[in-house]
Amino acid sequence: MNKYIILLLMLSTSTYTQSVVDFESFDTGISGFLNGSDANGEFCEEDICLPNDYNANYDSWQGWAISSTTDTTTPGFTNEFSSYAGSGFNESTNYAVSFSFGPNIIHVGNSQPQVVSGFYICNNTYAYLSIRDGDAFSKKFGGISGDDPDYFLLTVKKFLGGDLSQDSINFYLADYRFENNNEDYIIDDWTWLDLSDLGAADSLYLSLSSTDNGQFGMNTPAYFCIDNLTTLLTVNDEETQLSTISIFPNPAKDVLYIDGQVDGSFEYKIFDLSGKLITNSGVSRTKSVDITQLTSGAYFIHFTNNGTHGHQLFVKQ
Amino acid sequence: MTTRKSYIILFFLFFNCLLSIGQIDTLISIEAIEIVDQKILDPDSYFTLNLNNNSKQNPISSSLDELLSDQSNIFIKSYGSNSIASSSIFGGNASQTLVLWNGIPIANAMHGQTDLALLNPLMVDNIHIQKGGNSSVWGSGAIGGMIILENKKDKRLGNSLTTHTQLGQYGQFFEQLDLKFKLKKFASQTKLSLSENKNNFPIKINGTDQIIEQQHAQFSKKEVIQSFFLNVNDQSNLSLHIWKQIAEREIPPTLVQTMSNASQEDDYLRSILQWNRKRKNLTLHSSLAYLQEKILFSDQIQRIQSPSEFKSIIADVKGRLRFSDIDIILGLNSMRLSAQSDFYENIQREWRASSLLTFAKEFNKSKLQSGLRQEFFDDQFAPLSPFLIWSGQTRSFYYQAEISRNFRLPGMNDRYWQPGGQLNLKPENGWSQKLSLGFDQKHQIHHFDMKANIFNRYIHDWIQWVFLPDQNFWSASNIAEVWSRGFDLSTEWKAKINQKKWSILNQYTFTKSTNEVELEFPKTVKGSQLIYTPVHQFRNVMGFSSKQFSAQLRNRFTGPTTGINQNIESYFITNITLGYFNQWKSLSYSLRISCNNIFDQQYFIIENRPMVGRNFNLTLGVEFNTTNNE
Repeated sequence: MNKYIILLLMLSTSTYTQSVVDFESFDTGISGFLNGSDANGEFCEEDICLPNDYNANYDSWQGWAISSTTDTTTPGFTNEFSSYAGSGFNESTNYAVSFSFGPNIIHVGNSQPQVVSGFYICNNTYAYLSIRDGDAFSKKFGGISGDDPDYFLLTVKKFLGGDLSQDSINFYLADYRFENNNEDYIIDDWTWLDLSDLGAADSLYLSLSSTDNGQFGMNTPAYFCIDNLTTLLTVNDEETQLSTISIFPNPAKDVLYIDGQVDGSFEYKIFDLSGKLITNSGVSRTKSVDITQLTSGAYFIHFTNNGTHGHQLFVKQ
Repeated sequence: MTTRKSYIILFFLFFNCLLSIGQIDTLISIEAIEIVDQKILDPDSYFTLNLNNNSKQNPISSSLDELLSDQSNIFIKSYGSNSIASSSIFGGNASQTLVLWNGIPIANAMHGQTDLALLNPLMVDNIHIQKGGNSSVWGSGAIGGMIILENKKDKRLGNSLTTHTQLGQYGQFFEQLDLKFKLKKFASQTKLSLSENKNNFPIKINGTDQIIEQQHAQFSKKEVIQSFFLNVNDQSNLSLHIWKQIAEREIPPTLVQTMSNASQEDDYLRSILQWNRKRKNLTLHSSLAYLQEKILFSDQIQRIQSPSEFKSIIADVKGRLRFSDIDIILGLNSMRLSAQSDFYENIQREWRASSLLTFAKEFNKSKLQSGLRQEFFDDQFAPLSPFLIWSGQTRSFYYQAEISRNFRLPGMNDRYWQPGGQLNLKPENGWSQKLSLGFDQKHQIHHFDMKANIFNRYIHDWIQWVFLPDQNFWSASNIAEVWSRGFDLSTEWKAKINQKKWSILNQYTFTKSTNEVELEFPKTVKGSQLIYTPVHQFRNVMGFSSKQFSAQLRNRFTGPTTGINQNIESYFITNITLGYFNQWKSLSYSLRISCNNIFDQQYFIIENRPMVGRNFNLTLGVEFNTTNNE
């Protein structure tokens, strides 16, 4: 984790809650996809907006689409809206599809920067089958011999205050660089991509690269799918009742101490930044929480005390 | 035919031309057509390469791309055996070679190219290759050069039946029948052909011991050409040619593709009605042609069915006036095109028309030719295209210097494809210069011939599909400029010793054809050689023939090229053909055996599209002839 985010978390006195955007609010209709033909120019859910550039003359699009198609067998661009997992994350209906000749963007907050914990990501069927089998325009990864050190890489950066970050997070949608070809892989199911190291952002900047390039640019189909995009939001008014509680030290090594008005015992849950529950319904009477079992990283702790609740973000060293 | 009748026919042809101009849903053209012994108009001139598919030493080829890559020094860009093939002459691209069939351009009007793999040399009687710009005479597309196919009335033979049967490795089968029937004023020629090929040849994987078999590459083609020739009287004649062709081919996977399910069906109908009349100093030549081409690309696995179709009606009227040593030609052309595709908004139609005026004057041993062509398409004019040629001969020395302005109109895909087609595209255009020199020395036994071409050409408004930052699709643009220059050199020695013929031919071609504009997408560096355009080519042919036997060894070197995705290595291919010929009464027969790619080179013209390795084929030719030397 970079120093900036640690400092941000240490100095922060605000509380956070996580927001998961799963795109289920969209109605993809009979076609099973929304490609921007409604000319809204974006797909927004909660504070997340996915831009879309739709050309009505040619019924073509780039940017983001929302899809519920489930075809995992048909190769080619006629199947550009399907995730290779065959559904959204955790067998949900909807997910978002990215297709862009250049970098793609996710806007992550209407008014203030937010931390994106990450999202689940999966290959699009068109890209997956093209990488696995090749097609008339792109190679099967590994090449003729199977030994070509190919990869299909997503790089995520952020915009904050108009500046593009130098830091980036790489995610290999396919990686054939291993000495042992049996270790080569193509992402075939929803996989969590942790972006918390990027810290607060106005928007995410996502770009694809591949080892299969030619005069006309990247040959690998420039698609991937995301779901359950998770952000850290400042809590709403109803959740501020425990906002007077603070935790220390932060970062903490073994024990996290609670400071503030807590009547008797309180319950807590610890989540990682993806929203995954790490410690369930712990009860503490000592205003301390044992975190020795946690691996290093950033976590949420969720308090419940006498019917009120709140969140705090902390870092385990 | 009386004069009056002849004018009625002329009126008929003209009327159809004008009628078609007035109709929206039909099309017409008048393409520049043949006649004349002026070198630039005459496909049989000294500097023209004439290919004879029936010559004794040559093998029998059932596709034009195979014939041209084996027997000429123009570069053939082939995606593999029986796969799409096009030509590059003097550094031009695939749509800058004009292919004429009996004077009519037969390129697909949608993409502007002619698939040479689907043209069968045995379905025509003459094939001529003219290098260099000729669109000032022949119209759009003749920037790099021309391939001229002709069906001619055979003046030497009476009734005859000729067949060729070819069997080869990897499921190769070819059957061709040529029936010629002749009366006093009427002649008929029927050519039938059937081709099949499995193309399941082995492919060696470089750097490994692995050998795989080419999959999903079957090819079949059926075609017929029916020609009728009628001598109306001593001054005029009519001819009608109808060419029907149906081809089906599977598109094999590339080497970096596990499998392919794609296939393509091509269905062609081409017909030409021609009328020639000569009276005193005036020769009139009229043509009316109808072309129809349907293509269906399909891939069931990818759920793609992509039909396309274009039709054209072409009309041409040309008059030639000759006074002593002066020739004047006036021509009018009209072409109506219509095309449809799933990627067009509607059926798209174009009208193209042009006029041609040439003037030639012969001097003692030289000739000056000049001319001017103006083409019009839809609502705009193509560049005014003049040409000037000075040619001559002194004893054994031939020369021809020419300068011309050449152009190519945008293909219909360039204009109407959605997304990306641009209605306002300008024609590619530019000036070309060529100097041809020849030396031809004949002795009693020996014959030595040397030819050289030096050329220079700069094309503006070269049409290139580019990706622009403000849009999310590729689109056609006049953004590119290409400078082509180079030379070719050919020497041939022939000897006839004791009724045995010997020959050695060497040809070298140097072609620099460079991008003169830097582009981001497609990635194009200024000064870089065009993709799939070799700088160096060399060819050597050694032949022997006697009354009954022949042998020909052909070596071909093609230098390295750059492809879209990777560089392509040079290759050296050697082919050999042995022949046996005999005759019994009116029956003559021949047997040819060919071994192609003797050294079993694994080579590529397009990356990851393997060409066939060593392969054999056997051709049996039989001709039954009722009358000789009529």
